Amino acid sequence: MKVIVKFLATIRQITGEPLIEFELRPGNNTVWETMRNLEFRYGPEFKEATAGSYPGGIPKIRILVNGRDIDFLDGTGTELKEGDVLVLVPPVAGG
Amino acid sequence: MLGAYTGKMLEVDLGSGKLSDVPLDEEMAKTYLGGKGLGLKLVYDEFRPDMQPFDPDNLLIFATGPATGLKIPTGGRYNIVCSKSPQTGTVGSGNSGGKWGPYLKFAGYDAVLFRGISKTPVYLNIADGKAELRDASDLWGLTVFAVTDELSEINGNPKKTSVACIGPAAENLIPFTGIMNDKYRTAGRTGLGAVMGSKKLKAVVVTGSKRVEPANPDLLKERVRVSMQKIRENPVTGPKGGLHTYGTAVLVNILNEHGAYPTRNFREAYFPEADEQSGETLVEKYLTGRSGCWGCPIICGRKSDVPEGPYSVRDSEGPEYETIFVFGSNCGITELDALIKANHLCDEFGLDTISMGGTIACAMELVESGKIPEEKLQGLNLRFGDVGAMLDAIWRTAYKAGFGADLALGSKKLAEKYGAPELSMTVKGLELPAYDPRPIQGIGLNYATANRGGDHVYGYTISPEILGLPEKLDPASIEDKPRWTILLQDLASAVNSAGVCLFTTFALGLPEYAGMLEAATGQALDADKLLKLGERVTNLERLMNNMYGFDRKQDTLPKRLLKEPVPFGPAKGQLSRVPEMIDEYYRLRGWVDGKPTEEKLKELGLA
Ligand code: SF4
Repeated sequence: MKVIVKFLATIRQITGEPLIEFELRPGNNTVWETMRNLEFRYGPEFKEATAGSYPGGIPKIRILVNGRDIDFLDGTGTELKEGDVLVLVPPVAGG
Repeated sequence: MLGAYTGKMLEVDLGSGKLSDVPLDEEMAKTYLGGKGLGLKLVYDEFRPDMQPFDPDNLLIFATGPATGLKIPTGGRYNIVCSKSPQTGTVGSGNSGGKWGPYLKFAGYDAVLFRGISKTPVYLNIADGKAELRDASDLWGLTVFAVTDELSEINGNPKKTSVACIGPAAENLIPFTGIMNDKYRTAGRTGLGAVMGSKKLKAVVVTGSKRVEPANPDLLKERVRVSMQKIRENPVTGPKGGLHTYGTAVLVNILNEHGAYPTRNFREAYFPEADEQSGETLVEKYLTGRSGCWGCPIICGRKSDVPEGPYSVRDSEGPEYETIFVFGSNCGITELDALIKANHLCDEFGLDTISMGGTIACAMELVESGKIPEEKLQGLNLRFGDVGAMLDAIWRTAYKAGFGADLALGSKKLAEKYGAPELSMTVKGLELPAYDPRPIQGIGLNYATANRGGDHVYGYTISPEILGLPEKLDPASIEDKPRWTILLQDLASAVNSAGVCLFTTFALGLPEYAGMLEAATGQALDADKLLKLGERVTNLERLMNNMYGFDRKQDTLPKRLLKEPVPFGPAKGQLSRVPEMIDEYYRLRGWVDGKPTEEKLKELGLA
């Protein structure tokens, strides 16, 4: 089962690529498992940049699945389907 | 007088050429702070409901806030207000950074108020407390960059000099022109440039070296230290933070991935090629440096260069997110180098990029839907995706050349002229910014109710709805959105009256602003009092708009955003639900049908 993972801003600097097509095994297809797979693939720098929060409580990344923040889906338990788009967004802003 | 103010304003009657120093009323400073609040109050004191945009009595006011010119983070900002906007018919307003605001204060004034119309072109020079109107016949017609270069050295101290001016488009009274300072910084919206052009005022030069003293320097130092720490530690505003590294353009991919990146005149909300015009691509290909406003630790501005090719341009600044969307996805155009060029042209001519691009996109749709006959275009191939036509359209608008005369109407009048008013993506005549309100419910309510028309920074609900700051709200939900919209609108009114940058709100809250302003001015302030002040400013602006005839009828969105679901992408099927939120918004505001009640006005000291 293939999903697309997109990396934005500083996360892209670590992965060195803007997006990847990623193979997930059925039964191993939640956002949580996908993140663990990505940590394995991109190493400790990726993990450091994506896990937990900054001092002050701002999460290091927000995760979108098909345009929706997973906090408004099933959190890291959100299950991915074939063709889903996962986007990793570090804290940024603009106006 | 309170600390942090010079205590003096300059009144300039351009009709008679008379200049007068007037004291800044202390009570007014306490009630409205400065900046936007002060400007609105000065307009209100001479309010005439029959005011016309190019009436000599239309006041044009440049106002600093108490933070402007102090060592308060981002204290480099000022506001411009006019009695009547030529674009919206509301009170007009905009704010800008750079270094103009601080140097006005160092030159000896908190604000400058212009009335009347000069017979011949003039500019105002204020150097260390001495103000003088000078002939600008030789400067009339010059672009923003040229006139800034001409005037930067006149007082022999370019480092301590700043020039605010208009470009040729404002001289030609195009209703969506800004007032530019330090070449690239703009009070962009509601056509303030055209009001300045109608007064035959080409520029205002400020030079000064007299710093303004805060009321309690030690306390201010301590409170600034705390705020600076928060700004530095924040992953958005800190030295290696998102704003500094990528600038506002970082939002391109984020909004696109939410399915909220307006595309082809808001027909769509997802642009598959967005990454090619993203902040990430800008950094990789065209960024040559970063630039910040006076006193800013964040430094979000971009310096950019397109070294070669058909859109080559040197020593440019920008583009911001709004500009990328409006000439990019909204015109169906991918090429980032062309967008840098479009931004540069708008800066040269002094055009508001959002309204210029929104008008071009509207024209493209009018052409593609057969509403504008081919012969009217005189060879201009205005179709989505045509880069050459988009760039051509900008200078043609500035000079009303060929079809440019029609584009110079702005999208509302253009769409009306060609029998399809529903294709103008405006609120109160102001072209909408870069967040499709169909998947982001709060920003739609903000656009609909913003006093100056379709404007995102009037109440930046994107912060909680998309960026998750200060807390995450579900963009698709309407729950609690009226309350949040009001809070963010009044916060912005307070921030714009204080003279600091709205981008500090990503790291700071009302208690930090109130603490710094209290130490600066000596006026007792806390978070509640400051928010109340913001509410007063928002209501005063609304009250004047009511007297111009605005009420519930104009507090809405273009029909497309209420009736045409997003056709594809992550937000497929969504619509704005402003009609479901507006009554609750009015109730919480203490308004009836878009008008503050007598009771509310009394509560705010406005009746
Ligand atoms: S954050 Fe950006 S816009 Fe705001 S004051 Fe700093 S440089 Fe200027």
